[in-house]
Amino acid sequence: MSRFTGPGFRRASWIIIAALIIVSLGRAAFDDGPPRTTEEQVEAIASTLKCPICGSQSVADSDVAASRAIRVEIARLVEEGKTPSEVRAAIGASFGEQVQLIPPASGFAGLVWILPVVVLIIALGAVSAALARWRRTPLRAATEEDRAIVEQALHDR
Amino acid sequence: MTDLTTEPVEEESKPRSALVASVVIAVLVALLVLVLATRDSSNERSTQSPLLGKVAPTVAGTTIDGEEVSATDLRGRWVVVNFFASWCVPCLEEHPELLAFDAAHRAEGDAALVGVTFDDKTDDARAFFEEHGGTWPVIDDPDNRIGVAFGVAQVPETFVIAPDGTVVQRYAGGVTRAALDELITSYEAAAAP
Repeated sequence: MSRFTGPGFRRASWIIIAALIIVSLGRAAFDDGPPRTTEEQVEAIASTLKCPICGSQSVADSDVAASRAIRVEIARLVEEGKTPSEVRAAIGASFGEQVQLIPPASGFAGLVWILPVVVLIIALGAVSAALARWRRTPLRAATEEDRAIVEQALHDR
Repeated sequence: MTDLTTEPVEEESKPRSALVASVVIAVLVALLVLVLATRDSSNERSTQSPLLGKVAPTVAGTTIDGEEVSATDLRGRWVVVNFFASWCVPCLEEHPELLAFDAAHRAEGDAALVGVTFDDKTDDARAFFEEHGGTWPVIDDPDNRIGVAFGVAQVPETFVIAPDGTVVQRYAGGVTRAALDELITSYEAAAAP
């Protein structure tokens, strides 16, 4: 058996795939460090807040008066030394939590982060169980009698 | 002939486990939908505000006429804070209602009106009042800082602050004198011994 087709190689492949998925999800979930300039910080925070009057557009992408005003306030708070979460909380305290594009990680709304992961784990478990069951099922070779039936059927057509 | 049927016990357990898995996933997905569906819609121009029942943000600054004004000086009276812009048609439509409210309560001294500009130029706001009347103080807010503190999304918006300094009502859109009077009367009736 080739060293690239054996069970060890397959197991290693699955581990590499799982590691790649975890790293990708990790990079998507956590940003890679705070932005450097005030403008970058304002842009980053504004992109996580919803424009109060224009549907799902972010404050960063919107040019209505309310969004421009919020960007000015974000800049002021950033220059005061407030952290992004403190700035988001301050804006949420005035406009309501519905302006947050990122749901909070705690409370009932925090389930939107947990439930997809739980569903994914269950689905992966189900797929793994199904694959394992298929692998355990013995292959049945056709008997001479089966071959004779098939040949007879082909002959009778 | 070869018996190709599988074991009966296995046949029964497969659908059962599939059913359990389906139910579990369905419950989880239903929970997810519930969480998302119960979040407040941001598209509603409702009168909800996280400020209701809380101490009002600071309403202070320089008026369009260059005078310093602060709503805290009006503590003990009802304060109606009206956010407006000279370019805003609904603001123009509600203006006569504010004129009537101001005329009635200025004499009584029980309520005061304070205007705050929103996304407007000082000269334009001053010209608006010169043309359409109104002598209540109008704070010039070039950065919309007061508007953001009140969560103003779109003018006109009006907030009613009780004599103790708490926000009791938010009106998104044009307001009427009757609505303001009714609100104040209902609160005063509820507070009466």
